[in-house]
Amino acid sequence: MKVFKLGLVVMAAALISLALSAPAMAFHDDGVAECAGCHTMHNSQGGDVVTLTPGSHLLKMSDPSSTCLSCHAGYGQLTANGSGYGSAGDFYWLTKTYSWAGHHGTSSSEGDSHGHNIIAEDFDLFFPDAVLGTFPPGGSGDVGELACTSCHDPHGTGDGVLLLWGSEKSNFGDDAPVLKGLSRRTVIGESGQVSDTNHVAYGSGASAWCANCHTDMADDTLTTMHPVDRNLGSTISGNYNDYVSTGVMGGDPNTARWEVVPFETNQTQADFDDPLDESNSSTVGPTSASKVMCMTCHRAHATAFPDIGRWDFGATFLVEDSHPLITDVGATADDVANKYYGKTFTADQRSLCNKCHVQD
Amino acid sequence: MKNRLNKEVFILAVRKSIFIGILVCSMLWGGVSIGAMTRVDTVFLYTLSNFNSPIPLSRAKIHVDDQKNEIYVLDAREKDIRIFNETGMEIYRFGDDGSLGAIVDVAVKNDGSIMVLSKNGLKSAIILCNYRGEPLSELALKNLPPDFLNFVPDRMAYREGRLYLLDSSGMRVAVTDSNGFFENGYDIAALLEIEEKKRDDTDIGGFSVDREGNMLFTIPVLFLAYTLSPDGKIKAFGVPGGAPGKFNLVGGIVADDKGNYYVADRLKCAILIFDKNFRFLKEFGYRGPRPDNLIGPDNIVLDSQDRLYVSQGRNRGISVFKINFPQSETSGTN
Repeated sequence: MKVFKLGLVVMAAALISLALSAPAMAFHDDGVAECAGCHTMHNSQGGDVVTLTPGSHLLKMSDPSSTCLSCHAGYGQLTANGSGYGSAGDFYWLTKTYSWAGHHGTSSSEGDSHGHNIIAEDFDLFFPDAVLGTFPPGGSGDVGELACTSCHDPHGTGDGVLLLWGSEKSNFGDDAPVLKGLSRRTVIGESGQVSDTNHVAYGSGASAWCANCHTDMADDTLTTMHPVDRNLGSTISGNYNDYVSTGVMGGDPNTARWEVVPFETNQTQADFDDPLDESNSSTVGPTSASKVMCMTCHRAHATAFPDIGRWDFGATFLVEDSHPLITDVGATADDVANKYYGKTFTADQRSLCNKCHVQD
Repeated sequence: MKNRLNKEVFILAVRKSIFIGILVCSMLWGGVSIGAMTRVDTVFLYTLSNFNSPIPLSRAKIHVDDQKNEIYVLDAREKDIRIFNETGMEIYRFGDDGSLGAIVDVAVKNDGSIMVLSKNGLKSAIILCNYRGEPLSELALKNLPPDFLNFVPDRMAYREGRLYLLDSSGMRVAVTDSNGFFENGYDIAALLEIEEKKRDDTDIGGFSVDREGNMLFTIPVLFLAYTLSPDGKIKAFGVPGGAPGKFNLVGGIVADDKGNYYVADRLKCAILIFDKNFRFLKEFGYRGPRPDNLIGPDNIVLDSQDRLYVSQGRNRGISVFKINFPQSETSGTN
């Protein structure tokens, strides 16, 4: 009888602790979440067959990107008005096409040229690139339709921004870059909103990562390509630190860093993992050993500008020439306010190529 | 002989313990239902429409004016607010002239005046409008305590003369009177003992206030739904999983006047119904092309006639379902 009573007490204690326990981890925090969170095993719900074929890989939504955006749209990766001020950008810009009367007729900035063309049908993202199709610029072949999972690992292994590792989880030859990201919450006012004092810190490997698909872009033998993954050298780094704005030099290297024109610092993951590390808030400009990378001029997801440019490459003066302008067909006041993440330029500021090359 | 007898008694006692343990386990995990089973009928009525066709809204926010059974729909793409009558037809629209800024939520006071919550970066404003939606003045929040100085609400609910404001990323709720005077505040992260460094990663999905003033909310990354009483008592329910009654990515949550809870599951594409004791009753919707299917349901509201309004994605607009609770049927064990 004593054994029986003891067994009941032990059983009750175990059951009570189970009943009150909640998941200790957030959805895919530090590892893969429970499978049925995103996948349907037998294409059924409550005994009924789901009447739309589930997405690829037995996903519950139409496609991988829709599954990701079920959460991440609300965090700022896809907003309703471009208010996602994340380092990688807001996929909202894929939906925005602007047109205006140019010198030679109507000119336009097509939405499908503003970002990586992920297909997320449940979120009205189905804008394949009308010019490139599914062939990446500088790439060696058809990569198929893009999805969040083209670059990110939804099963939670890898680095803080869940980028796919190399051969372990993908067909990529190069591992994910060494970097220190920010919060996924990138809507204006949230902790992941980037600025000159709150930004992703890039260590190394970003260009090789992009070159997994955009192979020729990182080919040093091609003289027609702007260098990437190369040391800035003393002249370029000196220019960067000295540059204040168009026609204005004499900047302070300690405050020279612009989020809109980042560079790699060669810091290691161990450097970034140090609890005392403050790389995300550093305003210090580059050294001669710092590197130019693809991300120096482009964002990873989308921007308001063609070719996912961090600025409008076709504008002479950024303030008066960068499209969208309020006079453009298709532009809203929010579009104009959000295109440069609220950064203020001088009225005569020219292209940001000049941050390194000082030709203005 | 005596040793053998003791051993047999011991084995019998262990077997009894195991049997009772299994019985209790299955009861706790919902495998047994003894007594009355509550039946719920859900009937698709229509999609909110104008005089041409159903309106292809995506992920719009919804508010119900209980007194008139009018539905206010916030369309973030068009940046306006549409009003629908209780037969689901659009009767008015305002806000598209930009005079109300970036609207993130709307509520209606007992006197019919409209409150619009507008958010721009680090600032929010509550704009009081007349019945036409014309801005009249701004409602300032007063007597906020020190720990609410950086309070930037992005959700709003109005119930029985009180305004409930939620800062979803800061996980704080401020309750004020209808003139904006602070009455009570809740730090949800502290109540749930969420570490400060995890606060940013833990966000609130759906938020509403029931007729008793209990605040209802969901935390999608934890697969849980919560009720928070005015005196600060918090209860949680929900289990992660794909089976009926379990949570995938939960969003909107509301309660009816019988105390039943309705939770939208964005990934499962269904609405889950629980009774006042958090016992699962039914789920419906599911992904599909039929009118009564749902795709990415999130924001939900319930009117006084037990009509549930569900906002979803993929331009499927806002679907309206009638909820019926026929007389309970008696059943035995499952």
